[in-house]
Amino acid sequence: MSTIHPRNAPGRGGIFSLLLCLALCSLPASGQILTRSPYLQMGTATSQTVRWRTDLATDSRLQFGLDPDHLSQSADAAAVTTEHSVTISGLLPSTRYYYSVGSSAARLAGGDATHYFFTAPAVAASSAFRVWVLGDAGTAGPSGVNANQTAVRNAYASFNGAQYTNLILMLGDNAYSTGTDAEYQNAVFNMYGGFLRQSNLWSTIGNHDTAHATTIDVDTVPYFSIFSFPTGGEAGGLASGTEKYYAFNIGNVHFVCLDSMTSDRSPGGAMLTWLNADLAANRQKWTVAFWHHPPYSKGSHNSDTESQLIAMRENALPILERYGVDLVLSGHSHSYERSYLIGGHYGSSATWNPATMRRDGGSGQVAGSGAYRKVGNAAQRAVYAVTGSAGQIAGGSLNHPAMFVSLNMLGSMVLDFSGNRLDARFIRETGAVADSFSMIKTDRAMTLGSLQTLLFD
Amino acid sequence: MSPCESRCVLQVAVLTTVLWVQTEISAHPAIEQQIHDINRALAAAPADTGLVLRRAELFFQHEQYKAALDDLAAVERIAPGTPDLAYRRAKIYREMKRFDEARILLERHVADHPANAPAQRLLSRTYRDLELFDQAVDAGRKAIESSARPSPDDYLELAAMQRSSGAHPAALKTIEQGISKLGSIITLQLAAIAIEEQTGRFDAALQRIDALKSAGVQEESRLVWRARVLTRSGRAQEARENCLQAKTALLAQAPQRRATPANQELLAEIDSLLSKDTPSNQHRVQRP
Repeated sequence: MSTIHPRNAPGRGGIFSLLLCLALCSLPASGQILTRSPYLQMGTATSQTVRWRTDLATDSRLQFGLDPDHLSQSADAAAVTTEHSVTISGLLPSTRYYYSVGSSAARLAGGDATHYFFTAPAVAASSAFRVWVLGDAGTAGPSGVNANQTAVRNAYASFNGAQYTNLILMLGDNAYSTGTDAEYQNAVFNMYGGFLRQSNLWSTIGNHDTAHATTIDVDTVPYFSIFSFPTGGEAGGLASGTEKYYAFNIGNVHFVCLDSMTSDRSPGGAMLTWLNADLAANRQKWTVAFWHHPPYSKGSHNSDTESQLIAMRENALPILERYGVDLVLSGHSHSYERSYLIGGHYGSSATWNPATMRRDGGSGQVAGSGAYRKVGNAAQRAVYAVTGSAGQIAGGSLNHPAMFVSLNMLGSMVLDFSGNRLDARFIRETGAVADSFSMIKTDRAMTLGSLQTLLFD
Repeated sequence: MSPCESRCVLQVAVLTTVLWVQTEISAHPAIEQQIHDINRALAAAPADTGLVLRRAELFFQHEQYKAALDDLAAVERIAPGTPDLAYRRAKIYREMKRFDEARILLERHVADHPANAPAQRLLSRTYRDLELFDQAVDAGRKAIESSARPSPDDYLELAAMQRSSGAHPAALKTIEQGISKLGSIITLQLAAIAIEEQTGRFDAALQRIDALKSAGVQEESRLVWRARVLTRSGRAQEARENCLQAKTALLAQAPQRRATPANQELLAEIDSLLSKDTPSNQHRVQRP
């Protein structure tokens, strides 16, 4: 993983001096250096935003092309700034583009084999793609070092190998403990820099990203200046007018990001009004929703007693399930809890009724009781996963009855979408796969024979 | 107060709150942990007002308002000129529903910091809670004007206050400003449509619904919204046509999508609107 150091980083010793000398020798003639490596935002099938930060203010230049040695196209932003953001459009879907960043005077990074991105599959296309899900990861925020966060990252890197990670979903609490810019540098940009220059990062806001502030003072928290998220429907879905909640399409999946921390969570509020309209307009095969506070959890947070969790369960879930949401991801509890295929459970855990709410009581594992099956956008058939242990574990009773499995384990989640099929895995910090499930979508109810063909052929 | 006295005051405050923390806090472990960490740091540096301020904020978020006020009082004794103390106190008083005290502090704060959007927003809500609607609207407008990143909620909140006091044209103007700033987003347009309808401007409402066609909303929903407005404006035949178009479009969808509860509810509403449109009504409408 590459780590950005300030040009005048303090340090002593011969090795450090040598490294510093080498670094300074490699500086461009302008003397400007990167203080935040390039990271990818709002990638779609035809467009890409690249952001980076420099110590000195200049204009911005993004060069890109199909060959790292010949970046034939470029896009400039004339504004003189240290916070650089360039968006390119007119790209081809599912295509690898190499790029470099810098100014009109000098190239600062890229133009090599490691700085590239794949554009997303075309909207509605059935192409396969991979999602890495990180919940409550940011424990390296305060000091820049955290063995748990590092182990979870490295385990995913080993698991993933050379496969391309199309997007990274962060479920909030990305940088402890109060979401300052310096904590973001430590816990996100230094920790995941190697991924972030190749994979698009999407996020929802958590309580630690706003220093626990809820509605009044959140406009100026670093989270909103660090990230670029769609407000005008630029990446698919309906325009929300805010980066707090938004939607985007990748291939045949519609992703919905909600804000359980700072926005009005009431049924008539702006966020859920937008959600209703967005889902009504959605024509994608899959719908995945994510936000920070879990609707069901008995981990380090209790969804029976905490207001944000209750409000999202009571108000957002009925809307999502009316439109056939398939998977809901959240964090906040520092554990991994994954439900059966369920629906219609909007009360406390005491109201859980497996006879009416559990649509499939199996594991969802192909090698076990079989993948979860779902006909089209059938309502009230979704899997709910709490995956908030990418930086720490914090126990809890871990006994929510809607959950198929509840684990007090470090790890992150991997989603592989391919046509009608979703394969999800929870990768421990050791590299072991501690849980998995699959979901298969059919256009109509399948016979046992056709299902076996689909699964095993 | 001498430095020694100040230190004693803070030490007592720290000890008191440590004991209180141990008995009261349990709902939010993350906040509890941070307060615990600050308590430990304060034991070594009891005059660190930055830490006390941070703890006050955490107490506030943890709904331990008296402890938060006590911490702010301690800071004021040590460093009377500390900025934003009035604002911090006002936030707490509002949550305690002591609106009159919050108002006084907020008015004082925004007089010194007129471009502080969160403070203006808080003052607007406080005026609203005190049923001082004109002042609430004025502060709400200033909050939006000074906000670096206004959200749809800001415009909707201000417009709701204006509507509640009967100022429908002003509410519509607020929504228009939001659309101008944020784009033609569904939440603002639906609010505008509701105002147009409420004030009997049915054609204007229909124009807004037509404009949503390019915004990507579900066409069937859009047609039903149209039918609702047309029905209320007495244009039954056009409403019926819109309903029939919506129904045809819904029935043309793939079976699994048509079967979602949301679309089933939409279908039921269409049938309900169609059933209200009795043959005698149709006849009356069609007659020249």
